[in-house]
Order: sequence, then structure tokens, then C-alpha cells
Amino acid sequence: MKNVSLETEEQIIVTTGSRFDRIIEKLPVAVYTCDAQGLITYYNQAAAVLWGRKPTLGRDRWCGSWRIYRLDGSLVPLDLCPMGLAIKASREILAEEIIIERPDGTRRFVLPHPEAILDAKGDLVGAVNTLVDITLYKQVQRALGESENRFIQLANHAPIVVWMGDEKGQLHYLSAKWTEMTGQPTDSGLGQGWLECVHPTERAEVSKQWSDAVRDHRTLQIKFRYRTKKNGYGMVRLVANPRYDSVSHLIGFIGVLDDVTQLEEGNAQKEHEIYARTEDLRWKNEQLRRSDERYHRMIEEVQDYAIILLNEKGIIENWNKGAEKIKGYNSKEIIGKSFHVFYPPADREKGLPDQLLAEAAANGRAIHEGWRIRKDGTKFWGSVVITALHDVDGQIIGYSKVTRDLTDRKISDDTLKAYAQALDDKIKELSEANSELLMARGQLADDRTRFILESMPHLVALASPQGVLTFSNQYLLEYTGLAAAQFRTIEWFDAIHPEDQPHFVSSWQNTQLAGIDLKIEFRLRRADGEYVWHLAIAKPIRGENGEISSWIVTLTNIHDKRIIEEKKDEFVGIASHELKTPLTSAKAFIELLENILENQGNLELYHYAKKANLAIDKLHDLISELLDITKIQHGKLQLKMSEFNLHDLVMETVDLMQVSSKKHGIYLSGQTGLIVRADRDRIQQVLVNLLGNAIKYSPDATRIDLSISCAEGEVIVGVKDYGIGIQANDLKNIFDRFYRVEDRSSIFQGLGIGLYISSEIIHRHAGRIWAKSTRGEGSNFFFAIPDNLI
Amino acid sequence: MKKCVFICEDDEDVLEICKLILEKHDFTVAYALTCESMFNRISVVQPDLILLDLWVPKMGGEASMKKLRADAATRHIPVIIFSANNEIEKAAARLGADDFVTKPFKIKELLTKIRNCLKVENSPETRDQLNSSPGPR
Repeated sequence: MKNVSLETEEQIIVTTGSRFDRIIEKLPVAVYTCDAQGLITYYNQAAAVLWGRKPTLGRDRWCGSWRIYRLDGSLVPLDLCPMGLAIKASREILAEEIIIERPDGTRRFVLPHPEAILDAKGDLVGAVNTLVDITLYKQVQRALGESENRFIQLANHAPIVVWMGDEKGQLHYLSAKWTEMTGQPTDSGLGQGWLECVHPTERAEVSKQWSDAVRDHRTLQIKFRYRTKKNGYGMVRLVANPRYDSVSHLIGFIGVLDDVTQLEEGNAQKEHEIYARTEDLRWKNEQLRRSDERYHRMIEEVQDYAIILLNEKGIIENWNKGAEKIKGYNSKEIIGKSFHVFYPPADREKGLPDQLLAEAAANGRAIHEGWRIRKDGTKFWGSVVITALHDVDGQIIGYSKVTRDLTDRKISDDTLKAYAQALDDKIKELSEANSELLMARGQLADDRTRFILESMPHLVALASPQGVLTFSNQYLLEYTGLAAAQFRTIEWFDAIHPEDQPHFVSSWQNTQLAGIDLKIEFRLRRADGEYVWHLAIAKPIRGENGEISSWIVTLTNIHDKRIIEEKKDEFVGIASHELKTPLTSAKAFIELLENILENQGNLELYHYAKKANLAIDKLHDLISELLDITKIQHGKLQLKMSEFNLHDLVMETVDLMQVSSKKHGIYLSGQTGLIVRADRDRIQQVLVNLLGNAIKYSPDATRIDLSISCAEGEVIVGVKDYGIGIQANDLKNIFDRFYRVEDRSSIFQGLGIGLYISSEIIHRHAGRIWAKSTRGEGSNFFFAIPDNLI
Repeated sequence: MKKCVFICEDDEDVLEICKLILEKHDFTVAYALTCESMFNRISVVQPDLILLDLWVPKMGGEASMKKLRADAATRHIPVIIFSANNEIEKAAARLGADDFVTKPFKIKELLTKIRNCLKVENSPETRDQLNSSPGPR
């Protein structure tokens, strides 16, 4: 997924790259690149045109220009050209204007902008230089300066006051003659200041006529009394003519103020002279206007750049076709307005336009790239150079502003950035979605489990690792009539039958402590108050690291089964009792008979009676085992623990067994003094069982070995016979209930439950029982009980 | 003077053989097939020892045992519990019997236990002491 996208991204870069090449090639601005040694590696068409020659790639160094001069006319060595400096300094150079000379001798003013290119490690790989041909602006600037200068010189030498005012009637120029006439500095006469010298009685009328003329763009000729330096108030004549630019747009007024005191005294000659002078001035102004116009025209012809003249306050005074093409306003709409309108509101609020003007005023030039607003409100990416224009005294009289529309380049750049950003966002979004999906899946699994548990017609609960029931399903709540909150505390133990409670609670706690499965039968109180037998099974649910995260608890109604078992127990109890009763009299009669026959010396009959007595004993044993099984099954097999000498018990049992089986010799070896704590009768029962089996299953042998040993906290008793043995696959089952090695059933009698009972007895002693056997060689049974007396 | 053993046993065969054995060994024997009849008889017979089957009809051995111990007239008589019940040892301890004999029994065992009980000083005080400790094994 990600790789595919990266390929696409690369494709875009390649495509964009070739598009950029084409754009740069056709760019009306000269662009060229050098490698780290300064050898020219690329230049575009505009560069070749600017230089007037085509440098050889890989051989020409620093710059394609024939010669380079500083503005003061001094020659710049080629390796000290701005590009050379940028490469040597490995950085961008804010170079000053230079003059280049072509092989044909023509010269161009150029604004270079060299910038070093560094690789990712910061090492220099070359530089790129942009050369902006500013010859035209220099010429315009110089011509403007010259004509203005010429006019002012002229006006200052005129014998009358010459003034200029703007279209609103504010004077911005008064010739030196005014100071001579009024004795005041020219500054105080600017704006509306000159009206202060009008005689108070006429001032309102003069002011009104002047503003009317300004409003109606009319020529005005008016006479009034004016305060002069020499003799109080004299008579002056004001002549004002409107000024228009090349497109007949009012740009202000120009006129004279003449002392006509003497004329008023009838000097027609002088009046004529003044008229002639005024005409002369008008003519000169016209000339000035024309020369102005030529430069205006030149500028206007440029279409690819918006070239704008601003006054010193940033008010637009001139507007070329390029400006109209790029910005959409025509000159009528925009002249007289502030250049602020081109800037987006945010930039305006930050005061960017004025900052740029201030920068240009301070440094001579300000360069800026950024979004600008067209008339129709759309944006374009403008590259702007603002250059301050100065008069001969070095005073700023305005600014030239040259703007290029680089929107296409900007959009390509931004599209790429936006695409990369979008890709990044998409990947982030995807990975977030992925992890959400995982969480949701986990949640779903959890919810599904709960849903299943909830809807099951079984009693199910979940418990915390500490045994607190965190969840009880609906059926459990309904069944017990308890609230979910009661299950979350120990309150629910109250629903357990008082007789079962202590055992249940201790088992429950032990289960959690030991982390092992719980299986316990107990009586649970139903909603109707009836106690019903249940089997509780608790199994741990383990987390990834094997730690218990919760317990799942199921309760199964085993009431009927339990009742049936109780009835069965009762039945077995009664049955065994009833069976034993006739055995009691039979045994006693036989014993009586034995005694009599023995006393009479009738040994044959005595022997028969004895056999009958043994048979009764076996029958009695079988009935007892039946009862034992029932007890084991219900966990009712209880031990009567006492301390005794194991060796003594074994000897006693051997004696007992030897009475019934005289064929086998039972040989005892091992330790004699071991005292154990166990149920003496039950351990004897195990010994009887193991010895009985050994005798039973070794009909052809004559020897049985018994051993008592002690190892690692255990006392081990072994019974070894030399009989038929047990097959390996039967060995693991021999302690199971009612398991008996099949093919021997016809040969040997018995219910086959002896080993099962022995095994249960040993397990109740926390001991273990096992067997080793080889078929045909005999068996070796062992049991071990803990060697502690506590 | 022969000692009198009272047997309360509902199985006539068992009753018969016990009677036979005890009489052979110089005891006089009285008996009852139900607990109710036992109570009727013992006040007359004044036995030296009672051999009491636990599962006898009607009242039953356990209730009879409690009744014997509750009554001052019978409290002093030693009682040997006599049953095929596997819980007999516990029952004997619980009920305060002097001893117990499991069915089926060996003749020698029966005689030994009866003789042991009869050798004991038969004053009520001594027996009460004995009753508070577990029965001899």
C-alpha cells in the first residue's frame, strides 16, 4: 500500500520536474546554474538573450556575461561576480545591481540573485542565479528624475511664484519666489497653507472659488489681496490650470501667483508679459508632460510584469498593461488608491505592505514573495521587487514596484506538498483506523462472550482474580432472585445452604489462592426459597502472560442426580446392613461349629468349617468395599489420623495374610523404627489389598518381598511379586475404578475395586501410589505417604 | 452368680446364636425383638449389660440409647452397641456407649468385650466419666 503510493509520488516528481524544466526554459527571467567549481551547467533562453551570447557549458565560469561593471562604472573581475561570491560563500547573496556588457557593447542593468545549492549533508553542489533585467526601470527612473529636476530648476528661476497642486487642490510644490514674496518658508504655504496669506475679508471667497475650480477641473484666474513681505497687503493674481496625464486623467493643478499690484495700477504691458510667461510655462509643462508620457508608454508596453509607480506614501500613480493583466484592475480604477489592496487581509493587518515600503526606503529595495489578491478576489503568488526612487537630494519621491505572477510554480510546489501531506494524513488515518478496528474486534469478542453468557439457559458468572463475581448472567439472577449488586459482594454466599457454606467458602478462597480449577457440590437457594444441589465449576481464564485475568464459573443443577445418589447410598447402606445380618449368624454358627469340631478332634470337618468361615469373611470384605466406594464417590471417606509404627503395622498385616495364604513366604526388609501419622486401619486396608493381589496374581510363585524405605520426605512401602505381571498399556489404568486386566477375569475372582480404593486412601493421605511391572516376571507396587508427624 | 446380658436384636438368627454363645459361656440371656418390648422387660430383668442393635424396629437403637441414658433406673447399665453399620464406632462415641461390636463378629471378640465391660466398676459416677472419653478401641 505504502510502496505503491511512494512510486506514484516519484512519478509525480519526475513529471513535475520536466514541467519545471520547460517553465524555466521559457521564463522571461534569466536563470542559470553552476556546479561547485563555478562551471556553468545550465542557462535558459532569457539568460542567453540577456548576455547576448551563449556560454559553453562546463567551460565558462561564474557568469555568461562578457563584462560586469559596478554602478560606479568600475569593472568587476569575473570571479568576484555575485554568482562567484555565492559559490565561494556557499550561501545566498543579496547582491546589488550590476551592469553587464554584451559582446556588441550594449549594457544592461541587472539585479542578480544567486543562491548556493546544498545537498542533504549541507555540502555545496552548485548554485542557481536569477538575473532580472532592470535596465528599463533604471532608464525610467533616471528620465523621471531628470525631467522633474529640470522643471524645478526652471520654476525656481522664474520671476513669479510657480506652484503645483494635486487633484484635491493641495499644493505640493511652491517655487522659491513665494518665500521672497511672503517672507515665509515654502513649507508653510503647501497644502492649503497659502490661503493664510489671503486678506481675511476675501479668504472665504478665494477658498470657495479655488475648491470649486478643483472640483470642476476648471482653469481659474482670480485676483485678491495678499499679504506680502514688503508692504502689507498687495494685489496678487492666481492662475491655476488643471494637469492631465496621458489618458486625460486629472493629476493635479499647476499655476502661478503673481504680484500684480503694479499692473492694477494700469500697466497693461506687464499684464501682457505675465500672460506670455504663463503661456510659456504652460508650453514647458506640456513638453514635460510629453517626455513623461514617453516613459509611461515604455512601461506600459511591458505585459509580463506588473510595473507600478507608487508615491512615497504607497499611493498608485502609474499602472501598466502587465499590472492590468496580472491584477485585473484597469488604470482608472486603481490609480490614486493604495497598493495595500493587493495584499490579503491578514498581511494587511500585520502591516506587511508598509514594512516592505520601509524596507525599500531603508535598503533601496525590498523583495518579497507571497499571495496577492486580484480584482476578482482570486489569489495569485506574486514575486515582488519594490525599489525606492530618489530625487537629486536623495529624498524618496516614490517607489517602483515590479510584480511577477508565479502562481503556477507555487501551485506545483504546493500541490506536491499537499499531496505528500495528504498521503501522510491518509497513512495516519489508516493506522488509527486499524488500531480502532483491533480494539473494536476485542470489544466485539468481549461483547459476544457476554452476550452468549447472558442468553445461555445456564447459570454462569465471571469472577475477578480475587474471586469477586463481576458478572452474573440473567438466568442466574432470575434463578436466585438476587440482584447483580448482591453477587458483586459476599452477600450471595447467603444463598448457599448453611451446612455447605463453610466448606464452599474455604474451597472458593483456596481456589483463587492456588489458581486451580474448582469443582464443588453445594446447595444453592432458589428464588422460591428451596435449596437445590448444584455443581459449581470454576476455571481460570489466563491472559497472554499466563496470569489469571478472570474466572468463569458455571453452576449445574445436579439435584436429581444427587438425590438419586443419596437414595442409592441409602440403598447400599441398607443392603449391606441386610446382607451382613445373615452373615453375622452364619459366621458365628460356623465358628461355633469350628470350635466344636476342633475340640472333638475331627480335623477334616474342622477344615471344612474353617473354609466356610473364610468364605464368609471374603463376602464381608466385598460388602465393605461396596460401601467404601460409595463413600469415596461422595468424598465421605474420612480418615482417623494417629501416629503409629509403620513396621509394626506391616508385621501385623503380614501375620494376618500368612494365616490365609501359607503357600507364599512374605519377606520384609528395610527400616523398622518409622513412626507415621496416618489412618492405621485404612493403611492396613491398602497393605491387605496389595499383598492380596500379590498372592492372587502369582499363583505359581512362593515368595513376596515387602520393603519399607524413607526418601525425600516420604515413607515408601513396596510389594513385589513374581507372578504374571501387567502389560504396559494396562499399567496406567489399574488404579481406575473397576478396572481389571481383562483376560484374567475368568481366572481370578473379585470386583477389581481394591486398587481403586487403595489409590483413593493413599491420595487422601496426600501420598502417591504406582506400579512397575514386566509381563511374565511379576509386578512391583508402591505407595508413599508424607513423612511428617504434624 | 451369673451375669445377665440383655440382647435387643430383631434378627432371630443373630439373636439365637448370641444367646447360644453367651449361655455356653455362663451368662444368662434376656432379649427383646423391639426396643419398646426391651423397655418393658429391663425393669423386670435388671440386666448387667445390654447388647443393643442400632437398627431395630420402631424407636430404633439411637433413640433407645438416649432413653436408657436419660432414665436414672437404667443409666448405670453398660451398653454395647451391636450393628452391621459401618458408622458404628462413631455412633458408639456419640451415644456414649461403653463399647461396640461390629457384625459379623468373631465369638472371641464378642466375649472379650462383654467381659471387659462387666469388669468395670458399675457405679453410675464411674461410667459417666468413661462415657465422656472416647470408647476403648
